Amino acid sequence: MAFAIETEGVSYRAGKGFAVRDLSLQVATGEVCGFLGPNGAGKTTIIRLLIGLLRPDRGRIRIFGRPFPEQAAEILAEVGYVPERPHFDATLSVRQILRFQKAFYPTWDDAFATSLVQRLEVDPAQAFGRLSKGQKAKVMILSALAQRPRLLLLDEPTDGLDPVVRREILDILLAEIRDRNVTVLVSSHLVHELQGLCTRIAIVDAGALVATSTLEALGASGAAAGPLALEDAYVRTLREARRAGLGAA
Amino acid sequence: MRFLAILRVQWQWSRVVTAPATLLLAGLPFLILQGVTPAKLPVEVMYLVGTWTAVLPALAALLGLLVALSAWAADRRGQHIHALSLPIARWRYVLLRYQAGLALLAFPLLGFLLGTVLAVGTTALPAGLQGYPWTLAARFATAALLAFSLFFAILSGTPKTAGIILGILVALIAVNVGVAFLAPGEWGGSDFFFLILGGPGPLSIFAGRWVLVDV
Repeated sequence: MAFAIETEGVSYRAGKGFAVRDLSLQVATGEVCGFLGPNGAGKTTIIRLLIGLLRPDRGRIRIFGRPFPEQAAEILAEVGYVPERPHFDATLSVRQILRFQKAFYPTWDDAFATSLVQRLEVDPAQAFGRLSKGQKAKVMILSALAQRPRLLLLDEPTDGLDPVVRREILDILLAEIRDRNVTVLVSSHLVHELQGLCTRIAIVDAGALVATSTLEALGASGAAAGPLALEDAYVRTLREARRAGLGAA
Repeated sequence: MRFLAILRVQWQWSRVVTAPATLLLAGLPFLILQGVTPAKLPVEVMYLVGTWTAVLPALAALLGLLVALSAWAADRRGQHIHALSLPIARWRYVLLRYQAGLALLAFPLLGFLLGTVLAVGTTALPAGLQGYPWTLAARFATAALLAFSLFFAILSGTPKTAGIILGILVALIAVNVGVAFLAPGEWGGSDFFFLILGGPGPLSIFAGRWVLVDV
């Protein structure tokens, strides 16, 4: 099986209180993996390790079989990243941001970017800093998608958004996954939201990967699964892992 | 293409510095030569022009610092997250930012050159004196480029690294000023500044005579 993401024994200490411990995670190519965990579990830190914002103290990371960060420049050309907080320059207009991105990504799809701007009703002349939270999230998502990435790393992309904007973003993501077979690693607090999106989930707690499982195995997929099936399975799995001494005490 | 993208973004932040600096530096030589007439004694003119010797290197350093600050402003505000997620080697990205900073720095430097040439060309000097517009402009440009390069390098590190380097510089200056104040004539401030600015080395460009008119 070809893997989009492979980490092997990755450890990273972020100050005194928190560390990612011996992380070995595999996400197959074309898979949509939900990344779950309580607040402060290490989801953002792990995604930052995968995008190269942080360097692991130990262990190996491979993206599409290539070592990371050794081949970061080539790999990042194929990775769309949506961070937890807006990361674009607030003084630039949406149009300027997209033009900047276009210069850096060889697979940038201008027509697709334009269609997303229209579909998501984003004003291209507006300064990024003046946009609402929902509009900023839309710009970050559309920029990541217009890169035509093979891998999407989404760190709580819909956190704090109203249901209408959230639904719009999820619909576009679902279409992208269906049409282009893109690999996705998405973290979210909204567990029920991942139920319709993911094929597998990975649960982290206190910097350690405590469980990975398909939605099918968790009984959270198919017509019989209730709307909270994944949430129930997640809470159950997390509690079991903690009792087994895998996650936080 | 990437350079132009970086340049456009950097212009957003640098224009508040470079646009007014271009106008001010173009006008500055006229201010330096204000009051200079052929009727004045050469020694009077030399004194008048010589008062700018301390101001001009300080302006060049300030210009370099401000352009360097504006080069990193956007990345610093975003905690470098956007920059580091771009598909480009870090050294290459830093080089693009540096090149864009140099391009933007060229406007005020050209403004100063134009100002010096025009000011000297339109001012009648006393006999025995002559203008050195190209020399002063070249000196100003070298000092500004040096200051830009130094501050750019310091600011390209983490805030912690930049803070440590700037902190050490400030502490060294404070210690030397203190020593010079407490023990005038002994080894102290003047020696320190002589070592840094007066000794052989690139920083000596900031010392010496910065005059537009000389014998």
